[in-house]
Amino acid sequence: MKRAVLAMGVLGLAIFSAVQMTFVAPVNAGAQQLTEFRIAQAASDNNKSDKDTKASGKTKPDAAKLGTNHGSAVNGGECIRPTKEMRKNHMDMILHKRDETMYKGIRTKDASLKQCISCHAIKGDEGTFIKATDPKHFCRGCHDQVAVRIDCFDCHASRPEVKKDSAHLNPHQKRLSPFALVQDKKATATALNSFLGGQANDKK
Amino acid sequence: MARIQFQTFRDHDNKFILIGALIALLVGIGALSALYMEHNGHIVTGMNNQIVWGMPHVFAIFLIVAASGALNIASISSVFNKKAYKPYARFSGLLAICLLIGGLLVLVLDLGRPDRLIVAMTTYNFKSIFAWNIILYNGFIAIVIVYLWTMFQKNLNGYTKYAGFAAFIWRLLLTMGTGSIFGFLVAREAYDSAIYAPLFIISSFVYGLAFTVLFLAMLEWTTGKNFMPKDIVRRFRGLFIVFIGGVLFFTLILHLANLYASQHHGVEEFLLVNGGNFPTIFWGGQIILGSLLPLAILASSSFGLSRRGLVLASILFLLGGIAQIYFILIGGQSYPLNLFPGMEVTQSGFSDGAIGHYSATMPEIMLGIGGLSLALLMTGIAVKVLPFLPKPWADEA
Amino acid sequence: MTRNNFDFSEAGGCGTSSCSCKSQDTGKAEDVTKRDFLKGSAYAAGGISLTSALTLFTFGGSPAQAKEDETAISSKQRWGMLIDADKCGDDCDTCVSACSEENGWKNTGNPLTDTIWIRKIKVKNPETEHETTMPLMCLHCEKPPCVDVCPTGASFRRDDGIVLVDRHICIGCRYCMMACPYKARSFAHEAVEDQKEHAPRGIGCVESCTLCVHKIDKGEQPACVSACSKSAGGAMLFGDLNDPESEISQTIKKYATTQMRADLGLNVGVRYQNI
Ligand code: HEC
Ligand code: HEC
Ligand code: HEC
Repeated sequence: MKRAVLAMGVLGLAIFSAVQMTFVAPVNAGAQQLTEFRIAQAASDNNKSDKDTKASGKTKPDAAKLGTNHGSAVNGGECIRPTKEMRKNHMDMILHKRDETMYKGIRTKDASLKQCISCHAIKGDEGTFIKATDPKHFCRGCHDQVAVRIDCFDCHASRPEVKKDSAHLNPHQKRLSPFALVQDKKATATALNSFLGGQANDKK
Repeated sequence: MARIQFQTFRDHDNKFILIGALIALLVGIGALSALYMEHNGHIVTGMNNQIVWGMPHVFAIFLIVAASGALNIASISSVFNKKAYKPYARFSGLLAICLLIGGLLVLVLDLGRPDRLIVAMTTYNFKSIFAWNIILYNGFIAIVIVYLWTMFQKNLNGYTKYAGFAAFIWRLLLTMGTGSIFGFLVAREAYDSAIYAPLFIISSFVYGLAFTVLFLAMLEWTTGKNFMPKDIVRRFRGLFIVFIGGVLFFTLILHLANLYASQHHGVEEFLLVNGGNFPTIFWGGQIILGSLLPLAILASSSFGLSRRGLVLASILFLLGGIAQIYFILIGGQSYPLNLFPGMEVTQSGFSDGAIGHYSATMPEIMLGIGGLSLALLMTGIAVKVLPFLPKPWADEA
Repeated sequence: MTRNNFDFSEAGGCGTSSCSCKSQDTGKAEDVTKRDFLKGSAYAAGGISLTSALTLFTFGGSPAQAKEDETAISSKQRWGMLIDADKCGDDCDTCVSACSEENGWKNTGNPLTDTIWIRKIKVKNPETEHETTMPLMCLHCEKPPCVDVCPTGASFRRDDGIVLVDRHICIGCRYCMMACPYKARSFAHEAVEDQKEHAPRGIGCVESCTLCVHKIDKGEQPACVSACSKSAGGAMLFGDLNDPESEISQTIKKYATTQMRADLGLNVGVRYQNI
């Protein structure tokens, strides 16, 4: 009978992990990397390095480029909090802000997603701001590294608003699937660029 | 009566494996469908802004209702102490859990954002019957597992009765909760009725028993042994007749009550007389094919008492059950909302006042079938791992 | 530059101090909503129908008191709307296109799966043959069925009476759509691209008219209302139902108005006149 109970437990566990794998695995997979990433971060902070991008420099393929990019976008300004604090706490800050705005109608600029995007905008090869579908997007630099998937840009504009650019449906644009561990980044990027280029022409 | 002997299911032939493989294939197709839907959005389904719940919900509700009904056999044996059903008590509990999980999975995978499942599990709005249902479903699984445990563990057998009683009450609540999902929709005329809760309870008995009979018949077919002695066939037949009689009775009351209230004449006329497919699905599917025909089969004293008659009736009951839920769910949504009582909507940018249009697409149907298949697959695997099933009876000529 | 377009120099000038950000921001909000007519017209000229500042004054009242950005909303207000069907043009869809433009949803001619926050409907009294046309949107009930049924609490009613979907915790179950008597909600069936910065929306969640909260919070009027008064019949009146002095309360007191499906007892915030 002991065996019976044991096996029942195993069955339950199997079902649980099936569900788990379907929904949570992509994030869990990154947990290990995340820890490593944090250690690397801490190390770089201790190295009193002024180049924050170096934190992920080891792993990020084009960290240098990323650095220049967000440098140009923010016009050499500073982040809303010390960079070190941002790295650690940015999620809590925006999530807190999110609820303040949603439920209490508090619309100060500080720590709003709009604000982050207005500053952390990166220009692509075309000279237009890139969207979160582009792996070079500021918010994806680290997240891709540590396999944190945020769905924010399913809804939120991921680049500063371009005038008269109204939202529309694009049947070819798929959302980032929680199932999709690997995304064809290059293809997305090229498709996107040609799309953006075409659109810019349309508009002018 | 001798002590009931249980077995882990071994002595089947390859047909069992073959059926298992087929079902696993369906589960796989269901999983792919879910992925496809998740990736492209609900645009690839037939569901839309008017028919917001479609085929996946038909299957999910059907399975969830069937799950609570499947527990019925166990309840009869331990709560009402009918010894004849004891051999099936464990299996009944198992089937209940598996059907429920299958149904819930379909429901979850149909969500617009299945990746936020964790939100559904952690944030509750206690005013919502839906939130209560989430608790009822999880609680059901937990209680039935405890119930099974008391059946498996010899020194806990004494508690089976209490666990069985708790499970029995819980399952009534669960089915009532599922039925009440509709009861809270004040604005949808077809659902404006308190009769859905008892109707769902009595329907659950039919679906659950039909699943049980079909699974046992499959075991007999793959082993050539006797899992349903004559006595049990006779009892199952009796239960079916009572239950389906109840379903017909409550269905009658439901529509009569609606016809009594004159503001509901429009929707009743739509559903029962001139609403496109729905009258056919109701009269042809649920009433004739799914109730009267199997009732006639069971009523016949020779065929109705045979195993074959019982199996055929069970299949018809399940088809009728799907038709019934489809009719309730899709039919009820198709009838336009009455925005201005007494006025006609002549033009609208959002199809107000128009009959809803819904045609299910392959992915959503396969998702539903996938959930059903998963339930059966889990049951099949479980009986091979643990002694859920009784030892077959000796042949009685 | 309009406020909707970010401004590098301003953002950069913000510096590390969040305080300076804040004060700058509020100052600006006041500018627009309370005083600056010129700016208001500049907005309109800019192609974005932010004419609220203008309409606000032409109405004479102060429908939406400019709220400081950092103060929370309160139940002192209850925002509502009164729609005069007599003034609503037969084939006019100014409100609909203004909403679509403001909030970035598109009618692609497939009402079954498109997102529609506001639509025009025409109803006929079968006895008198009298036809009435009017816009229909989320009516912002005091006792909203969508809020009652939502399993996660994503459907909620803000203190100031606006019924919203918190799309951060909406799981897309669509029970609210089943429950809504007005079919006011739509489901985002497809992925959305190039959303408006101030109106995020995307696949897999239920959405509906927000009464333009982002504008109300800044003391402006909903886009449909300002568009209607600016370039159509002026059939829509927006204001605070809790304030007995407001124009909307005064009108409701003076004239007969209708609550759609009053029999359901939901006490809607968007009312009708002359239907
Ligand atoms: C399904 C759509 C959707 C998704 C996904 C989504 N949001 Fe939002 N978000 C909204 C809506 C709608 C608002 C309300 C805007 C308003 O009221 O003006 C909002 C508002 C906000 C705000 C306050 C406004 C602002 O710009 O600061 C923040 C912060 C925010 N969201 C953060 C997030 C974050 C972080 C994520 C990802 C974890 C996220 N959102 C994902 C729809 C979404
Ligand atoms: C005023 C412009 C500005 C705004 C607004 C802004 N940032 Fe930054 N942010 C910067 C700059 C500049 C840096 C780089 C600082 C450095 O190199 O020391 C930075 C760095 C960061 C980093 C660390 C990056 C790294 O590579 O280590 C994070 C994380 C970050 N920002 C998140 C955010 C978030 C989240 C928001 C919105 C709440 C936001 N920022 C708003 C300018 C801005
Ligand atoms: C310095 C690298 C870095 C950058 C740049 C960065 N993030 Fe993150 N972010 C992280 C890490 C690491 C986590 C995971 C933290 C954890 O799980 O504890 C995270 C988590 C988050 C989360 C919470 C996710 C969840 O599901 O809990 C949000 C929301 C988020 N980031 C938003 C943003 C946004 C928006 C930007 C762009 C403005 C951004 N991040 C840029 C490193 C970064």
